[in-house]
Amino acid sequence: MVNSGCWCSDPLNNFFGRRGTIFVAAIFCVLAPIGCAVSQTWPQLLVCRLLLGLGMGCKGSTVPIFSAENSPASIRGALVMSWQMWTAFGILLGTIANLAVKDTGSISWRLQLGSAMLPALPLLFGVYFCPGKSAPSIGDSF
Amino acid sequence: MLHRGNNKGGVDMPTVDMNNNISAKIRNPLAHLSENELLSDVNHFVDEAGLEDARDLLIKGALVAKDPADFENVPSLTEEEKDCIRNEVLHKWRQPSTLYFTIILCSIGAAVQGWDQTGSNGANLSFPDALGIPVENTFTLANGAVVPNPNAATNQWLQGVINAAPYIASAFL
Repeated sequence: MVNSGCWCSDPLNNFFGRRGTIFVAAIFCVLAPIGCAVSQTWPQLLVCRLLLGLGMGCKGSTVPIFSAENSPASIRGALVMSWQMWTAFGILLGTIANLAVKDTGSISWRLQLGSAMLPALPLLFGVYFCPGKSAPSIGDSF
Repeated sequence: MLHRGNNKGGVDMPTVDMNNNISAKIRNPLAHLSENELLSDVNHFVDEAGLEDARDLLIKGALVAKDPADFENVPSLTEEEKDCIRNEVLHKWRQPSTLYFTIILCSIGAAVQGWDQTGSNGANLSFPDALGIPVENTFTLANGAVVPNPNAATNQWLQGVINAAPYIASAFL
């Protein structure tokens, strides 16, 4: 599973805290699809998708922990489960986006790969309005 | 944290096989303390941890934790605080809007994950040709002749590696 991966997410969380890590991951999730979309050779596409994977791994292993740490115990399970539900919803949105641009001819694959940056934009800007400290401390877990 | 050398409460403990004790319940460690013992523990902890600002809150918290069901009778709690504790049970979905904002944002993060996983599905149909790694086993030339694609096997592997790249990076980097 993607969410359990990304070894670099642990040191990132130590340096930047949860919000900082999500912010860094969101930067990857915005820029890497753009890189994929403008690739001219297959090695470029490969490298961009590797970078996308870095963002996905860090985000996938940090976001559920972030929501768990913010939730009170009585409803924690319900709120953390929203991760899987919204991943499935994202798959639906991605499929819709694939279909929406399928008739654009030779650039359709560029639009299909690049469209994944769209949901990452609100994540990138929204994470700074979340409560949270810059690094884990005694007050963060209750 | 707190160190209590002797068990002043003197509660009778039934003999328990610690290696075969799956139905064990943890006894509330504060239940048998007197109020003075509890307060001196809290004050000791506050001094040790340098949490002077939170002393009153920690004392209230310890008094509630000593007998959670009886929080209504903790004299130092304000009515507002009692209301909050009641709501933990009565209205468990009544939470600060920042919490719900955080959960919505985490859901957006999840949607990004799903979208990233799906975006390549449609692209697979055309990017190998566009990037010069056609994966078809044969080509049909303009004159109708069908010729084999000598690089088909290699290119199919390249397409597979490109598709797997996000997951490779997630797992190993």
